[in-house]
Amino acid sequence: MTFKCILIIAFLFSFLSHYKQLTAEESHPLIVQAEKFYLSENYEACITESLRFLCFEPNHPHVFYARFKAGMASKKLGKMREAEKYFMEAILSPANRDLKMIIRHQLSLSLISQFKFNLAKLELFKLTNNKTQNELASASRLLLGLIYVYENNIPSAIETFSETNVDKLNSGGIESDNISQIIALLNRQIKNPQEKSLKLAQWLSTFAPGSGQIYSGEFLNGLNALALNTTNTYFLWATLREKKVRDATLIFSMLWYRYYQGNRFHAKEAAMNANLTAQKQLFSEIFKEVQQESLQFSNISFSIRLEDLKAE
Amino acid sequence: MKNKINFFNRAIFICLLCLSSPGLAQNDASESLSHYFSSQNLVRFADFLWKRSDYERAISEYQRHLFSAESYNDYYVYYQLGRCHFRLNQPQKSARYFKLASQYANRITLKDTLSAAYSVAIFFTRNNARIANVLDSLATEKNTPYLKNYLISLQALNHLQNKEWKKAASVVEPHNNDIDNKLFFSLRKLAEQGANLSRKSPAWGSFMSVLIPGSGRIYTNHLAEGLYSFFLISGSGWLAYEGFRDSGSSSFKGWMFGAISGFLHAGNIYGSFVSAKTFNQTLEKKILDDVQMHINYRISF
Repeated sequence: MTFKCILIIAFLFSFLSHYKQLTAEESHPLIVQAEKFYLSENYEACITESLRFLCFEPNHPHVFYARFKAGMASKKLGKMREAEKYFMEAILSPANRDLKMIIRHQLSLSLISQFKFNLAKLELFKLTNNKTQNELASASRLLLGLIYVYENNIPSAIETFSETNVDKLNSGGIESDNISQIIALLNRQIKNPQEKSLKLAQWLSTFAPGSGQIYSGEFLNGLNALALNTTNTYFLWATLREKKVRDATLIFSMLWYRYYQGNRFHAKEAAMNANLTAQKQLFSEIFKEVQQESLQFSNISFSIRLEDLKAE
Repeated sequence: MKNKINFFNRAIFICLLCLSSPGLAQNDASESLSHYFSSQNLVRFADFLWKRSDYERAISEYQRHLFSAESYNDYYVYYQLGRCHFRLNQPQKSARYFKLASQYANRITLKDTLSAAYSVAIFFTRNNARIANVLDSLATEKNTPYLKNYLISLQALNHLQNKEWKKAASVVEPHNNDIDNKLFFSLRKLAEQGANLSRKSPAWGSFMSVLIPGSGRIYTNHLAEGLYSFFLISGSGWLAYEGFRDSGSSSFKGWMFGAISGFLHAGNIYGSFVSAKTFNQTLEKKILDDVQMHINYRISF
């Protein structure tokens, strides 16, 4: 009797553990293999096994996950073009709407890293309109705002960052200090733009060679242009004073005109460089604030795990 | 009797216990995975990767297949490996695999196709000595007319690519057969055009510019540039002469315009040399573009 009881208990225990194993490994073995490789950072092998799954099970419901995993592994390897291709295929595969939103988020990150901002904006618009996943929408809004700042589209950037604060207030939270700081920086840029006028720089150098460069902050170049043009002008004037018209014509065409036109061209170039530097400065300041703001998402994983598929 | 029943019950329980062992479940999982790594499925997966243009992964899978004992003479896999390496711009490795495929192929038409592929891979190694050796050695074997003509056309294209116009013409000349008559005719025509190009001599152009500034440019059909150089150099030279005539050897004007004139003259001589070379390259480019078109047409894998 005692022996029977022991055997029954042992049987039940082993049956239950087997049953647990059965349900745990509902996922296709190739998908499980790919997952294992991903977790052990063997990304090339992960991509290979994901593709093997796609080859042999093209109609499996978890096809989107294999493509997503291949995309994530490609991203880890720095192969953004391939990652973009896999994410696009994953979005086109049948899947749950919420999971597709996560894939879109990863796709937008791979597009941004390739500087494909127009395509990234399309994906981010869809994410920011998502009402079911608030954290994802907020993170996407931050990315979208950054893209606008990079493109120097300040009014759109202000509007996008403001929407983040509005959402927080609507969901019962308080305004974020980082977002408020970003909006303040952008408003300051609109009221007091640090842009140099290209036309003004050119006109300044037309009447006073070198002054356009000095206006744009390039003092040494401005002084150099001033010295060269002054020397050529003196030479030309001295030749004309001696009434040597032929000499003066040659000096004008070979020396004076070339240096004068070069000075005007460089004045415009200096103003463009100054504007670019100012834009980069603003972008890096705002990027720091966005990084601070993103810390709130540090505990949230914008990714899909194998357990999420089993839970469906 | 009671003892027998007891023993029987124990035996059933022990059997049921063993059947529910987790170890068996593990075996099921590994067996199902091993199905995907069978010889046949490795090739199927490699073909899938080939269609997706993932050549490096396809190479790994084809090589995995070759390691299995029964498949060492699988000419199809060697052929695919050759194609993958070719697409990855690795003609040396590609040639090696095409050669192996050709060795293991059993039908003559297949051998022809594989030999042709091998010769194209060798062609793209750009090693002229090796190309000549391989194409000559292949041409002496007992080949079908298709392969012979193919190899002759490759030899001619190799010579044309290296601007060896007369050699190209001599390769194509004696073969006036019906197969590929059009091709041989057009290759012969290209060789003739290349040999009869009205080239300009860079040395002669430079020498002309030494004597008369700008004449080297006019020699290469750049009239406006030639006239501009002439007036610029002679004008600054005249100013230098005037300066020295009026103020002697200490004349600043003389030295300045003398230096400018000298600098421009040296530049003009060099420019005439380069202009003649560029003129010749432009003439040859049209022919080389046609040669490239023929080469692209030869690649059918």
